[in-house]
Amino acid sequence: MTVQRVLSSLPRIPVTIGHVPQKLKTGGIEPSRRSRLEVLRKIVNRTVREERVELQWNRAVEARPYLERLIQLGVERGPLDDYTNEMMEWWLPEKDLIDKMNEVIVPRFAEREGPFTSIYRLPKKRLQQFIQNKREVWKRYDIAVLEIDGNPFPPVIYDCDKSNTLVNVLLRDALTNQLQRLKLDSEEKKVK
Amino acid sequence: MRARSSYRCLTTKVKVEDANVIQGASQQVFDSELFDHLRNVVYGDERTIDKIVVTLENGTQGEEKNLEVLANRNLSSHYDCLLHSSSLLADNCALVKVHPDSFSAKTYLRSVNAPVTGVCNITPLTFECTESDLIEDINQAFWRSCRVLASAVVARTFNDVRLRPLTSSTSHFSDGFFTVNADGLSDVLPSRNELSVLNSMARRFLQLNVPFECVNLSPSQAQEYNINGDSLVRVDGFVTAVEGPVIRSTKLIGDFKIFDTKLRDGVTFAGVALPRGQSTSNYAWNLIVQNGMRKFSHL
Repeated sequence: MTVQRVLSSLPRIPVTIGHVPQKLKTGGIEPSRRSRLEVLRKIVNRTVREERVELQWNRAVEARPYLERLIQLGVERGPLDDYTNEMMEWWLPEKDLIDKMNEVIVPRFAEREGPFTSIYRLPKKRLQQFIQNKREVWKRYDIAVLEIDGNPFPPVIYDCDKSNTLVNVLLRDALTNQLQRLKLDSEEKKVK
Repeated sequence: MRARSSYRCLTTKVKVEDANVIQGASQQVFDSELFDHLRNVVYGDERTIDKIVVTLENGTQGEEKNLEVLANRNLSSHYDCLLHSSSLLADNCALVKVHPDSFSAKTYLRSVNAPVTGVCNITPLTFECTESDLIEDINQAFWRSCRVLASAVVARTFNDVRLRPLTSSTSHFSDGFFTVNADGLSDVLPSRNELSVLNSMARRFLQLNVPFECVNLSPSQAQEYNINGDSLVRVDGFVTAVEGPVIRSTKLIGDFKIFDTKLRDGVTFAGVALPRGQSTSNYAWNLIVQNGMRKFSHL
């Protein structure tokens, strides 16, 4: 079965795709399309291993659709499918992770619809890049948290009611008053 | 434990009746010496140290166990106790809920900088508290603190200004703005430039992390010293009486703006502020400021 026929049989991935490909530094590997895939493969492999990873924002955004598609293949086509096995073997070079994928992660989403992953933006972080002639070079990075849903860690964002915090009380009041003013203005125009 | 500054002990001989409380028909001016004197009267001589056990309850996440810390009665503040748990928690804490040891005593809210007065359990409260009955008190304490800061800024900026006590007028956070009333400005409204100077002075306060020191008074003490309020607050040398707790320091205030003035039996300054952790976009902040300005103009 060709790749096109397999992919057309699958539903769309409910995460952002089709954006401009991110420029990923490949760290020692000669820059090419293949090296970019190697970087993404390392991220996917690490995410399946750890289930929640913290990395640069552009890498997380880029790797997320690949991870989604991999889980979707497992859920939709099952572990006995040739194409799924081929993809699992390529994307997960650590072979014990294929078992984890088939026995832990895919059954977790058997009764659920996608997306199977979540991404969160963290505050920017200033990290040291390298030291050259005793000169430290630092850079500010956008940081993301990429996770597979249903992991055993505590939630990244606690679901709590913040409607009574000061900023929300003041904003609600401001918007209510603005709405009332707009209604009055429109009524006045109608009368005229 | 926090080391008290040495000048505190030197002020015990101050004669309060001299000139520390200047009473007028509508104003009450306090000074730093009176504040130090009252702190000595209320919390006693610090040469005798009495150790007590304070239990920190985790208010936000109930999974963690309570933590028992050893504190000095009337000397260690709630902030000192919270530092045993986490400096981040202590820095972000807006108020503390105090459960006294005795069963008959009721729980109450206290400023983080107030000294611990007995064996008790304390729960730290942040601006993101989800308990609906507490969040209103926390917001009101923030509003009160902003009024104290605005008073301090006005007192620092204008010469011969006499600020009315904050307890003489009420300002609720749901009004959308807070007010400070001042006399002695010759009934001339400050110009836009003067308001911008006020705001730049306020920004300097926010950057400096100035603590709101406070002394909680019993009703009899307040009556004895003719203070209209239940506590005395000092911020950078400016002292005023307030009714209720205040936040820990100016660092917890994020956006702050005194946006307008009005002649109304003296000069009334109006402003608005937000906690540091609740900063918004410029658009949302402008909505809040404009709403406050409109409501203040209809006052």
